[in-house]
Amino acid sequence: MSMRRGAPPSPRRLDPNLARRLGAALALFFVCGFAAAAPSVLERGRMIYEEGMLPSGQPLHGSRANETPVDGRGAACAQCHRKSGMGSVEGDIIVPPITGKALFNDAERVVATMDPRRGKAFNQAHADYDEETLTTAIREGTTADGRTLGVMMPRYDLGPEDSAAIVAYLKQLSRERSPGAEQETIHFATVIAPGVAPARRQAMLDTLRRAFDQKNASTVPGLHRARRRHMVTAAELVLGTERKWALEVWELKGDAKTWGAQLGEFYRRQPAFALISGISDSDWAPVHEFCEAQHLPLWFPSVPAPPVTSQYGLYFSQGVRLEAAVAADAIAPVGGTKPSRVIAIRHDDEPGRSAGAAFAAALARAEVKADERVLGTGGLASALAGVRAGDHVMLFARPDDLAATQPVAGATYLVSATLGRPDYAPLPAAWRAASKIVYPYELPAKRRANLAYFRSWSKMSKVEIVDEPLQSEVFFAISFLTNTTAEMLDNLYRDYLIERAENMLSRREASKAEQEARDRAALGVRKPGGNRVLPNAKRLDAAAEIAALAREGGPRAHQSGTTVYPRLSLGPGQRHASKGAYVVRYEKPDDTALVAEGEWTVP
Amino acid sequence: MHETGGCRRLTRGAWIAIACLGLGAASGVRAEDMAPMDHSQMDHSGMNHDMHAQHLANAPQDVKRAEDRVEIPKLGMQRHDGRKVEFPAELDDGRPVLVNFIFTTCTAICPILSRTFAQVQDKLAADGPMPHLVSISIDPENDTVSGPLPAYAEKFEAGPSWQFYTGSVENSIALQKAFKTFRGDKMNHIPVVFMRAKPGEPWLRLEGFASADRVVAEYRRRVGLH
Repeated sequence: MSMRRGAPPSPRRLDPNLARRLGAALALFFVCGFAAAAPSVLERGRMIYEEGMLPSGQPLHGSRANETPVDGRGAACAQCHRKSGMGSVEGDIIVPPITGKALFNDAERVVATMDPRRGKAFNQAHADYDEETLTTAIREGTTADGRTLGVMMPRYDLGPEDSAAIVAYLKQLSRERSPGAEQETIHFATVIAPGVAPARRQAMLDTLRRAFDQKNASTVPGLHRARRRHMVTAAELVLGTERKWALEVWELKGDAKTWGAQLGEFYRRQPAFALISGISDSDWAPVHEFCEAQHLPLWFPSVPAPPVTSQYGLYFSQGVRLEAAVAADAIAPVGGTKPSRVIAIRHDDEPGRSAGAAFAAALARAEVKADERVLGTGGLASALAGVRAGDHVMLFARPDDLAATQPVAGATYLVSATLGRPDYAPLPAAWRAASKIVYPYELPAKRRANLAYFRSWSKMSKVEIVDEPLQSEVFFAISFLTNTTAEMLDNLYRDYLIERAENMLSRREASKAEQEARDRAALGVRKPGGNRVLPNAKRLDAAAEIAALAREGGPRAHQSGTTVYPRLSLGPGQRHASKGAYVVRYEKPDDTALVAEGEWTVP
Repeated sequence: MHETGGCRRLTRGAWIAIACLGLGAASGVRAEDMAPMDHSQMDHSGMNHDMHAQHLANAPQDVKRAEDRVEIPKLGMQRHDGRKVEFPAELDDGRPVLVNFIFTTCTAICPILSRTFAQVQDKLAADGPMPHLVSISIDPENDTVSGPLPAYAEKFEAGPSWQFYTGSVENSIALQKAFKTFRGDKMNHIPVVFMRAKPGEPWLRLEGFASADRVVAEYRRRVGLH
């Protein structure tokens, strides 16, 4: 239908505006209707890649060179090559990158760190693929340069259409850097929820900013790398992928229901590559949901009730839910003597509800039911009404709650450390004799070696330690992010960031611990006369720093990691790095030293 | 538009520099992990191939076979059915035993090892009395009985003769060390299957991706079925 200008409108003709609208509606109908009937080529490719599902609805099938069959999700490409397509290393097995750039090599060679701690540092170069050779590799296990693919790589039963879909998907996979990662800068943000005690908020920000400044002071982005005055890794020397870091502070206000919109506005102004650290003493779900929707990594925030499952959030532990399970085990072990009465006291907020539910579920395994009480206007005093000797009282309470009242004599109390924070504010003296604490950290006396480096850093950087678990968490978050982004080289994809953390965390912690312990041992050796052997420190303050580092923790103390946790470890899909807790008590009511009641418990 | 600051095409010399420096500069590299520089192991990019991985890639069926005495330490573990048991007694009930080491969130090696055990379980069902199939978690704090371990056993259709074991990190490491499979970290593990005909006899160690048929053939020879 032609619409010549100036032609008199015919009554039979549709109004052009209406026609346009109808056309759009029709087009939308076709797109939607078509999509429902047959997903796009890319969507079909994604289903094969991520889910191991063929467009026909049948599971993807293949067999490995040792004749082990693989089906469905276990056969999905993402199982080994990961969602980003950047591959991984397991033992001696290198799973190479298969992103569009890596396979088709169309402009630049993709260089990926495989395992920097061992000989197999980088991915191998290979001949460029085209659609035909790639299809042969996927179906028959022969590479573009005629090599036979390893035993791990399945030979897939794929028809021509399904092969075309997976090839199309691979072509575009991880083609662009993720938002927030720019040529010379990576943008990060940290989220601060309302209601955090000012001293803790400030301590968290000071630690974060100081570490950011130090990271940037030693960074010279690639284009200017001739100006470097410090040593970098071999890959960095050649590739020059280092970037400056920018930090935005996203401070949330008001009701948690409005946080999503606030985060959206912060993000619109400056997209972040990832959220680093972050703090809340109460709600967190809106931040978690925002990150899941944006595919935005949430890198080790310090929050009391991390979500059970998450794609993009990495957390230190399960927080109050972990404590609830360990507490239930201590009060009512499965198959053990049943306690006469168990009372759980909590706030009516996200961590409170989460902890209450987890506690009830864990007790149910021992067929015990807790009397659950919610803290209201009457505070802890009225929640304790009717408590009598012999009762077990689980307190998901904060320092202010405890300070406002006294325990009922004769009852046994268990306090959540995540909410009660004995490292920040020791329990009031009246509570110390009556209470045990569920403590998801390494014991203070045993973690000195782990924290020696952090403590020396805080001294040298003039960052006062107000809350040791919190600040060591923040310090770890930056330190681990520094290592991880350095190993990512120029492959700045958000999925890849998460995948590297999953694969490298436990190895990184072990090797850092070993290296720091070796340094402490070397620096802390005494001369026969009693003086420490110090390297040729040119400045007095440097000598003092080294001596302090050696003193912290003692030169020979065992070091298992670099944080307040005994060890941190993730694996593919794991989202909580520390898995257990102690039950501790105060050694003496007039002292704040904590001692363990038993072993580290993993529920 | 392509960025200019990232990975560019590099000269051969630069790659050799990376490969050489990369080896020397890697922190925490243990002596046994350091292969001597061998330029025959480099492809045209100058990359130093991992010899073992390369070996596996070219000869997928290759399995290293060795006999070994294993001193099993005395320690407690927990089975995926929740029962707390003592080692070495758990291995010494008289049945032949097959052992592997896995973790439930492992994406590459363990699904193959577990699938192989599942096939071995099916293939041996016709032979009469079943051996004890033992899968020890190398990520025990994650692979708990209240967590993913029972579901993992179910996923691979583990029958009454196949048990999965978890426990403390220290105990899992002690068992890995006893079988000489401990490589510092779960992500650094290797595929290996052990078998023993009866208590007191040496263990047969099959390192590499032994197929179910190979494991079954070795097993039958070991227990004298052939």
